[in-house]
Amino acid sequence: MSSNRWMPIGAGVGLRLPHLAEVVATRPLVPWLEIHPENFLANPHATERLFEVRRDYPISVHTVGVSVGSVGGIDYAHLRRVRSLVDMIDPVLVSGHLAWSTHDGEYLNDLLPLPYDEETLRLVAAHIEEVQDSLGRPYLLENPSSYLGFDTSTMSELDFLCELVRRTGCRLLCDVSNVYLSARNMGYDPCRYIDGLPAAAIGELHLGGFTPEEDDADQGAEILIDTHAARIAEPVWELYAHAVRRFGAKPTLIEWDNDIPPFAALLAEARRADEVAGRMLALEPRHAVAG
Amino acid sequence: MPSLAETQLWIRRAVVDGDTAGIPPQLIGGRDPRRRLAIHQRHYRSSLVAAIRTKFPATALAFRDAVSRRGRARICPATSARYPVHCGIR
Repeated sequence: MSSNRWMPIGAGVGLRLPHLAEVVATRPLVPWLEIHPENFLANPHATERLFEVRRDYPISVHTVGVSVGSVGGIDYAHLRRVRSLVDMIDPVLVSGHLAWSTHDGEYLNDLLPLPYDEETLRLVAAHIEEVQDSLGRPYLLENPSSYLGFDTSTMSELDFLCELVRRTGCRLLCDVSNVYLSARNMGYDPCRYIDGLPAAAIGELHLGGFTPEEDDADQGAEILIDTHAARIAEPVWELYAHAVRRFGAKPTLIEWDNDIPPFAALLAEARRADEVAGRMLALEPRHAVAG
Repeated sequence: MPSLAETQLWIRRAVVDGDTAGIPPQLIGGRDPRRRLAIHQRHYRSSLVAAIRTKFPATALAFRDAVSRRGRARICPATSARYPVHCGIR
């Protein structure tokens, strides 16, 4: 079952609990909103307000507790709870992370890295199929923010994601900030990463802020931490422009989850995303003529 | 080559228990990749603190007294995880 609702192309924002009452009361001009279901499942009052919001806005559901990379399997009780919310609000998109966050029934509260090899591929593909079967709709998988990798990996993250799309029919959520941050932290070219993603599978883009700090693993070097606690950095806007040229117009989300500013600040970032996308899409025919 | 189950077990030990002794030399990232595990340890701990503060407000109040302020500062660094708190404690 896919959603009957329509997802606008313009930039939406992440709806976090501190802004919920304001959004319900003022109905700000924003084309769509994204929620973390985990923030609502434990909060019946917030869920009631969410039902009000979903009457006026398309909603995207971004799960953070469905651990498709856990060797111990996904938490079916949690998946059932997510499905019950999905059934109630009929979101346009449902997404989650390429990561693992549970071990032996215990939540580790972080998105942990995976080695990219055939064993992991089989496991993650099987879990994605379970999630899609349970939700009755395609699942969008987000590329991770990386600080660590494994020299035992037998394929690149890019090849891993492409193969998951081929095996499961899942779609991809390209977090442009994660691409930039991971490329900086792990030493690869972010544009080549964007260029290697299967454009037809991209269903959504994310933009969020990061925090630079000293890299304890490399004296004098800097590491970027995916905090979602700052404005989007200028190099990420440049990479976003590259992504729009590559993928075309896609729903884009502004994420801000810590040190959350007034809602107007998120709307300003969303307007900038629309401006960047509009500029790139307007340029595209001229490139075609010239090229 | 360690299995995925072994890899996740030693990462879990490193993140939750701070036990990095058993980590095989397969990590990459910077000159001393093991030190980057501290980022995940920090996210785990700060999310745990956030979960306690959200789900157990009385405990959170106790956290505010002078004695525990020092402990909180130690385990709740400036950079917090984006993982929502509601799945933090089962």
